[in-house]
Amino acid sequence: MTLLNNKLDVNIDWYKKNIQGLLFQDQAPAVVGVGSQLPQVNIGDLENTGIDLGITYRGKVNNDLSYTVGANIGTYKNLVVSIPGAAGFFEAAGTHNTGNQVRNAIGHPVGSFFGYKIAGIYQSAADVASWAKETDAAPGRFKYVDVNHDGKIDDADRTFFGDPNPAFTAGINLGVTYKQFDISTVIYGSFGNNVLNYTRYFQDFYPQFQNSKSIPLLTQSWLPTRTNTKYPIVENGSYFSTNGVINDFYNEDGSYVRVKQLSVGYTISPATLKRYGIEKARIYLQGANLFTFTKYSGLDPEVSGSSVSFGVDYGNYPPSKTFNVGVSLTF
Amino acid sequence: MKKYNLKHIMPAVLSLLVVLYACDKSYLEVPAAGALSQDVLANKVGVEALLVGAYSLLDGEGSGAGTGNGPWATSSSNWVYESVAGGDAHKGSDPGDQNLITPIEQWNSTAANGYLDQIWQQRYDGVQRSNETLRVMKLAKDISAADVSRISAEARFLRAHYHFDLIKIFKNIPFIDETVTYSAGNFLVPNDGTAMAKIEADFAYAYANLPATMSSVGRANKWAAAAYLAKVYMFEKKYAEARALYTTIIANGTTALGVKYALLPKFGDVFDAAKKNSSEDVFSVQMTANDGTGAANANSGDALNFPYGGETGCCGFFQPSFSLANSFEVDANGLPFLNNNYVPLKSDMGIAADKPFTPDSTTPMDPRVDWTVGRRGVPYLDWGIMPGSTWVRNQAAAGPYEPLKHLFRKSQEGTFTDGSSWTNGFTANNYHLIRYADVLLMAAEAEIQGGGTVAQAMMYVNQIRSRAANKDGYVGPANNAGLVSPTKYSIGLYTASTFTAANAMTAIMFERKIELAMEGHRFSDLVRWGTAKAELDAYAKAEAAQGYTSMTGVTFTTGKSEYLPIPQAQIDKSVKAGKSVLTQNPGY
Repeated sequence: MTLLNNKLDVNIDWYKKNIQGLLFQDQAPAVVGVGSQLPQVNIGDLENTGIDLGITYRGKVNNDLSYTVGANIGTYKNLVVSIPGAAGFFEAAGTHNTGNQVRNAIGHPVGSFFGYKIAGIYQSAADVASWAKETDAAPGRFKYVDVNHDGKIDDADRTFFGDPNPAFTAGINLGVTYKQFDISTVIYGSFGNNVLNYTRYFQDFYPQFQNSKSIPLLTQSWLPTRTNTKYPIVENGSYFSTNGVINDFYNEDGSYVRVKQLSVGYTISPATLKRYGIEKARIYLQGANLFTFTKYSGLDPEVSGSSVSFGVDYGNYPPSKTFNVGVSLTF
Repeated sequence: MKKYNLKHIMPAVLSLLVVLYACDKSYLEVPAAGALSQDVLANKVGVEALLVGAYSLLDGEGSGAGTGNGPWATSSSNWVYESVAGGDAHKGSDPGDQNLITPIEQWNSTAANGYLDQIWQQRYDGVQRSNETLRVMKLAKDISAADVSRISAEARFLRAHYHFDLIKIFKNIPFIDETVTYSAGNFLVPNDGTAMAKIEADFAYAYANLPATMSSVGRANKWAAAAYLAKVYMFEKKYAEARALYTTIIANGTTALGVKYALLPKFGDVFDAAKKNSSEDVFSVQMTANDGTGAANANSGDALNFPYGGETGCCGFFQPSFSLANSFEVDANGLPFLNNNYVPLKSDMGIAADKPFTPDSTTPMDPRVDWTVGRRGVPYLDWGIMPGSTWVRNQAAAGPYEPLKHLFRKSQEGTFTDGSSWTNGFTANNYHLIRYADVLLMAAEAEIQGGGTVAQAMMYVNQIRSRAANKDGYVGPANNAGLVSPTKYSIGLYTASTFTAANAMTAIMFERKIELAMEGHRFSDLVRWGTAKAELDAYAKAEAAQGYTSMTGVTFTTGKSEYLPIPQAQIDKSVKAGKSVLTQNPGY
């Protein structure tokens, strides 16, 4: 709807979208020959419910100064409703080292991260003895949550620990024109999404390819004298209770705000231009991806992927910061 | 003349065409693009091609089934499941590199380990390719009776092989015959313990129906089927049947090209890609390089298993264990220490490559050691003298030794290695699934266990040792590009006083360990013999004592560790009326 003499646009979309018949490989047991017989079938269902709100306000202070303010905010909830096969899930985002990190399961958001949850770090032999029985448990290593309370840590204790879908996304568009100058910007933010920062597998654990190592590995790793830390003990070994399996050590808040675009322009007055046969000329300076505000520790929080597995950071390139200087002429 | 404006006519014509076409319902039934239907393949050419397709999965690659962890999880050599789990070798590389191998090495894997699901998928894909050959052949009308018999025998040989690879690892597997298909919906087959008998039946069928001579190298012939059948008998402890069959094979067996089975004169030649498909190859998985496929037919499953830091390739996996190297020590008679009471061999563990190290030249060693274990100061094929830790990715974590048997020679770079890939490790070195030395050693076992004589068993073992004792075959200038070995080689034959009824089995088991080391047989041998717990617990202790911390405190659990767990993903996918038809192995 448009209000206040065309000054204000308000847009609200509420939707519930059932996506049916997504193309998934059938999940029959492998004895049928996964490579030779298992077809892609249209039997995966997703449900998206969400709300999008958009507001644009156009204002004019006087003949010299006018502005536009636009804001939009969107939130959605996405659930896997059905998946082919008896298991009710399929996994994705496998690595050579620790296996699959993503489980798409009925009743959970698409692309959910799946593995062990860390309760803390074992501080002593007594600490190890008092906890559920865990392979390779030792002081300085991860203490996993015994999800099913059966007194041992095993496959059954893996759980969903992260969701790469944002709680909401928001954007702000600003434009100001003052006399012959104009300035505009697009700011985008994503909030409440998790990123599985798998680059830390290589950088935060000593035995993982001994080249680039992170500063926290050096300065924050567990020691008998440095117990209040999230980083486990440094060892030339890899264990179930350190980085041998997928756990939520890698799970981070991937929220960010990014100035996607900022441009400043100057329009030369027609009077000046007339004698050159030019109708209109604008000189501008434009920058893309200039600033990003995030607590995410990896290179960049904007991690893409496929439709069933995204938000897993293998060390992807951040979007490049670009600058353009231009002149646009109309004859 | 009235002008018709094409602009107005064309849309009308096009719309009409669409309507006419759409009215024909058959437009909904378009055959799948890029897939060959059974009708197209139901003839001799098509069925032979399907059969080659079934062979092509022997190399562990190309199935389109799960490949998430890389081809190393499905290597035809089974280096992870047999040689690493069996104590021939450490995982190697950095501790966290290919982490999923570590629990397998420590006999403590969980059912969620992706390696397990992957090999399950790949091998069953091989099973189904074999089955598809049989299914389509039934529809073809232009195949002669002789060819039908041969093709079905080859397909059943392959089907049995793929099952056998899994049964060694998982024991309780479903046997999938040609009646099981996706479209029939009859794929919930229980793992009820009947598979081994069906594997045996397939090999018996192949033995009865395959010709002795085949059209090309790499195909299974009558004798390959006989040797595989005899091996299955050994796993089933049907020793008398095995003994009779081995006797026939040794007397009459030939390769697919009609060459009588015989050991090559020089031990090192067995592992030389230039001499592959010799009289010693009973059944080998064929690998090729530079065939234009981008290394798709190369030995990709072993591609990580090369020294790291040298010129040979990449990644530093599959490092021979301390215990394996020590096992090559011999006594004054040139015989191995059957009770493992050797003094651990001096190694360069913990010594930087630029610090002095004098290789051992006084301990008498079986000459096969330097064709099996790459050690500092000793010729490494024709690559030069092994320089120590600069060729080892993480010596402190994985030990000082490097593998050898599947390596290419420096002189073969570019010929038997595939230049199109990221590493030279994609080689044309075949995998010896069964070689004649394996046949002789199993025959020796069958003699002892199956009502034969100790003397005959000793004769078989001594054939192996005589070949190893051939001085022309020692590591040294003639075989290693002029490089001189410092090792003091010594090897003797068994005599009636050193090979007795009391120690014959121990001697045979030890001979298998050193002759077939690093060749993907060890773990299932130990399980088959019932010695896994004793051998592997001692192994773990010995390795930890020499500085391999991955084995510190690791023990083998009897009744559990003999087999890996059925992949959890497959159990979950095989649910019928609320219950999986796949039963998990004991202990998991």
